Amino acid sequence: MDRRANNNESVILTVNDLGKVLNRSSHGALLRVLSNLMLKTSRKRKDDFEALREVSFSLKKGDSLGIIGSNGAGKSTLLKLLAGTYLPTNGSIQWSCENRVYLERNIRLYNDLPIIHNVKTLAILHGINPDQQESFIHETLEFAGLSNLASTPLSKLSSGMKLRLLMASYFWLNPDVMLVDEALEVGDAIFRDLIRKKMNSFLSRGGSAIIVSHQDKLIRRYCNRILVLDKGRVLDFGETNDILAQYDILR
Amino acid sequence: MAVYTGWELFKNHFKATVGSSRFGLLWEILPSLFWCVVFIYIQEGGSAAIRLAIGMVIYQMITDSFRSGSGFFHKNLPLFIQKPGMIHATIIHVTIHSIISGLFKVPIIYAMLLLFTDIPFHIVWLYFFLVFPLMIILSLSLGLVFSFASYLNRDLTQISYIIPLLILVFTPIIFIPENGFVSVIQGINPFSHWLYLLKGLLLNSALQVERCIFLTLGSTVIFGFTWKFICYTMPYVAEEAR
Repeated sequence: MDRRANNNESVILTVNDLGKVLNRSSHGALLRVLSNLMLKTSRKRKDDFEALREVSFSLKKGDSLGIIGSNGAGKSTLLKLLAGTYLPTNGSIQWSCENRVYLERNIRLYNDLPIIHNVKTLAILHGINPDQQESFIHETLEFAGLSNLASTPLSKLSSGMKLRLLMASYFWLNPDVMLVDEALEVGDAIFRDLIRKKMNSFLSRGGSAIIVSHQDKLIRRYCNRILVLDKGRVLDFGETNDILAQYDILR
Repeated sequence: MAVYTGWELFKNHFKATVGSSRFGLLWEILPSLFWCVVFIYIQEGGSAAIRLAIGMVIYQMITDSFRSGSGFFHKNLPLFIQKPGMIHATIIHVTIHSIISGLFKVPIIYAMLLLFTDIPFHIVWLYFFLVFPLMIILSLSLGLVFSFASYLNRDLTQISYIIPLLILVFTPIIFIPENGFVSVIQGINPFSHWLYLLKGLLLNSALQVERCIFLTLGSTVIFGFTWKFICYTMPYVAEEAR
């Protein structure tokens, strides 16, 4: 963690008393959503569970946070709340930087159309200026190792290759914060090495990452802070080395 | 920004879909032409056949935009989960796509009228280019609301496949009863009023101003509310997508 020179102490993220109630049932989704919309009730329903409760922490600029915990601990729910995909049931999230990206394994692009068209779509979705789009397309394809497959339909790629493409596009953006849900260990050894280099350069220039992972070596490599979740509650929060020494969850 | 992004998404997608197909742009009109040929053949020409064929082209435009709307969440939710802010641009993309596809059908209607009837072209026909987008955003709105409901309920997903058939029955295209339940529904169905407006434009070459203002405002307001509704409900739908 010596590369993490925490010289800028400004807080970029404050999470206060955050809670999220989700429902396990696959039935009655429409009625559930309609009652949530219309009644805004906190009444507990059958199969409701607290995916997260009383989660509070803050992150300074340049910090990177690893979120760990067993399956169902609420890691991905927390990341979706931080990304703005879910609305909190209670508590608050305050970001002081706008340039954030959220990367998870599942994104649907235009499978039947050529890769180059999909990269152009990513450029538009990322809000890249038209005069920079050429360089975005070129560099993304090159980083993903797909330059000579540009006109191949996306459906011909494996899911790992698609994720490589997505990762490559996100690194080009140079965001302030990356929210990553178990997507850093994709591809072969050569690509993982490329990602490692990109991540290191992203972090060393003051970027922050919030990473959900079950791999302790990944958390140790990139994160100086760690949040341990258990059944939706914060079990611990602090320096990575101190916390990992205490818990053997990841080993 | 959302308008620009939506327009760029449309341009990029349109170019790619047209470019990747052998018939390219022709696919925008071929299905409608097919309908016309079938109806004219079955009815062996005649003004009734032409009216029916034009009605079917308009019906196709309504159902195409309904389908674009009804698949909205199924198609785009994974994107919104990662980029919630993209919902506005995506709605704009879908809207532009539906409108442009719909407008390709206007020349077919003109051609049918000019080639197979003795109705002369009248300048007021150009209102079609304004009227059709409004009809399209109305059916798109219906589709978007269905998209929300059908994503959360499998039975409604199945029902959304039946809706185009119901639109055909409850819009005076092939079946116009004098009285009864269907007649009542046709009377309150806004698509019926759009069709009467179009009929007025074609046959009388006169614009029914009151009806036009009412339908324009109604369709625009419904579309605005639907847009708000879809954006507002997106996080709730995303929660159910786990």
